[in-house]
Amino acid sequence: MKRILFAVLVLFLLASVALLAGGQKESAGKMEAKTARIWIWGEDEAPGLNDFVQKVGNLYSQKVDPGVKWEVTNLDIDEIYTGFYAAEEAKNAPELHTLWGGILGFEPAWAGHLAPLSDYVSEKTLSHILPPLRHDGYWNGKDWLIPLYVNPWPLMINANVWKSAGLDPQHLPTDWAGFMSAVRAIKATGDTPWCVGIKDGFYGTWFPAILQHQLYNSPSDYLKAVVGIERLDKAPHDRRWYMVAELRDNGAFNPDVNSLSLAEGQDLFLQGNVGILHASGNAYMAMVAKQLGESNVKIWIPPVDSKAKFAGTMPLSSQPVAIPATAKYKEDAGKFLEFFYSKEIQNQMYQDISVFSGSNELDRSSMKTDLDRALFDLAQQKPGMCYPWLHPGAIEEASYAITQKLLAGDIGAAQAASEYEQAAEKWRAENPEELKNVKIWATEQMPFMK
Amino acid sequence: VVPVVSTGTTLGDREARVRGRKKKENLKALLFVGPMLLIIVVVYAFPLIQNANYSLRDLSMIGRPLTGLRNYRLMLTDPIFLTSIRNNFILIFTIVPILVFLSLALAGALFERIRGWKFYRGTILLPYITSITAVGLFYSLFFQGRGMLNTFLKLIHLDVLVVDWLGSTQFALPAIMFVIVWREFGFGTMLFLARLTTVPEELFDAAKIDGTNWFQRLFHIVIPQLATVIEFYVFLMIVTMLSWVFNYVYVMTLGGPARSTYVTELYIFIEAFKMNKMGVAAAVSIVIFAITAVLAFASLRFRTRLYKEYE
Repeated sequence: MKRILFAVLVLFLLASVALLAGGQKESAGKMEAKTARIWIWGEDEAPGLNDFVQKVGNLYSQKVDPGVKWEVTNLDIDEIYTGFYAAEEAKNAPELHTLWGGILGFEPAWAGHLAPLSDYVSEKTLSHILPPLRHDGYWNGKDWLIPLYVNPWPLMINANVWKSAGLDPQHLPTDWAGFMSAVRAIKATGDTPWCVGIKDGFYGTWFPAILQHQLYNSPSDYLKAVVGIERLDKAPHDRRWYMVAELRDNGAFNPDVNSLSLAEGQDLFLQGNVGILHASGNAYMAMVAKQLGESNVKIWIPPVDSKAKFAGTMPLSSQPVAIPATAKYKEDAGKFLEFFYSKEIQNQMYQDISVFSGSNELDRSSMKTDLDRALFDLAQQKPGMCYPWLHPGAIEEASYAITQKLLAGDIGAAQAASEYEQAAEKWRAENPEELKNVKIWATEQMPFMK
Repeated sequence: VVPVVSTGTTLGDREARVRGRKKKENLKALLFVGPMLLIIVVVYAFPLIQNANYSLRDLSMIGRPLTGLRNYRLMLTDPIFLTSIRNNFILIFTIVPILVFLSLALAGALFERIRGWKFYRGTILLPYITSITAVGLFYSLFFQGRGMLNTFLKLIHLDVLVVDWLGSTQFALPAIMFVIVWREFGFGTMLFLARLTTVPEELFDAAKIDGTNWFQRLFHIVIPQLATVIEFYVFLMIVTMLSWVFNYVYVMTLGGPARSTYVTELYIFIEAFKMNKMGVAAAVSIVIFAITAVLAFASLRFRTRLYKEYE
């Protein structure tokens, strides 16, 4: 009996050890299976983005590392920063997180909330990013932000409206005077030359940006004025106010420009009696072309009589992602970005959701429409800088309030420029640390910007 | 010498017993109030203290370092904040008197059973029970440059009056004020009417026999009888104008044009969610809370005095 009991005890012990060992093995297995997270915003501008990034995540698990499972979460626009800071505070940030570009994207980095992206992504991959876009994520010798997708910001014209005004849409104005006379001609027919809505502030800086950015040779030219090395109320930085005032005086804009939102203002173009639209994003432009007829719309960069390097270029903004400081799997985030920036995936993104990536490896022959071919040529050959990314939020806010005053006729261009400089002075005085950081950005050499 | 009463107990014993009973009652009261007090502390006092704490820190930095009164200084030197608080006070000093007068006049008229009073009484509260977002959206379309108001003005050949109401720095705030009055006055009217129905009718009958007109009755009977309710309504509306107008502004103008319709709530929202300055947003909310608390205290004192006068 004792022997039986002893045997049972031994068996029991063995079974327990085996179970424990198995459990350990299982939990060790569990430890190896990582769940990495990507929190993005962009579905509004690039419909299908969420699914596409998830698809890339799944492909990554299949082709690159089966031990990492990617989970994509779509953020609301108001959650971009609040969600990011909350996750950072809880030390539970995702591996990749959407932010805005330029200074708004660097602010978390300056506060210690971002890991330098170039520590995890190779220079070979980063060198494929279009230079002005890379500039908006590069600070103090490191890359901090990388474009997820890109928004082109050209003007679109409605050829029928131009024809009705006796203008030739095949030979668009090539100087500012010609542009102004075209505006007057369209206005004379009773149509609206240029539809804009700035109630929600998005366009305060964006719509003059297509004029002002052409006056610069590099983003640093403007940044120097932002940090106070030059003045924003002196040429060439004040030119945007004079150009907008001249457009206003020539009746370029719809009279309710101040009480319409960006979307409401843009949608006026769809009514067919507006000559010019400042469009944004491939998806929106494709929708406009579909509604008004692809042969009836044309992409245009307005002439501003500039000989600077950025003259005639198309502003590009990106929706970038960054690696948060408290992300658990930073190396995996870097590997994911390497995979995402492969030629195959970048071209697949265009095929799947019709938006451009920030890569110079995009294939022109894969463009699906004439409109996209025209946008592709400008984006790849004449990529412009993203003027609104080059100043902090306080200056952006001031910009749109001043633009509203200017458009309401309350102030003139000189006063607007002066108020803009005052807003910048206030920001400089109140944010000495941030100013120091922006000065680094304004003056540093970036080898890829040659 | 300690006086001896017939029950055989001393005065000191009785006092002690009364004190003991009172203590017991207080304890019982605390027991009833306690759970609610705890809830209030958790859902109200805790966030308030946390907010005050945030207002003294830089929340965007790792470790949220203390920055003293920097956020308050930034707030007070920001012209946008000063515009916001100025606009709140414009709302208080223009809308509250209009609301009180309009509500009193309408309550008085309904009480006197003017022709169609039943219909008015039924519909007067409709704007108040309509969602602010819906009201704001409707009036956005109404006041827009190509909105209903301008279409109507053009129709009757008053093109000279056509303005981009919400896009003009001069007219945007008055347009919002109009909408606030339109929506809020129904509540005051019903509040005053409810109180009026408890005023003895003999007072009005006697005044009528004495040959008083409607205005005399309004100023000599209605207003004095309604003093406590008016005081309550004024306090409520002041607090509303200070901290409950965000929806109107957000839906109709987003604070524009050129920040001419900014109010402190919108300022808090923009600072917190657009500018990522949570500390400044917390500082402003503490200031708004302090102003509201002072007003509430003053209102309470005033009401207590009124009640004492009645007694």
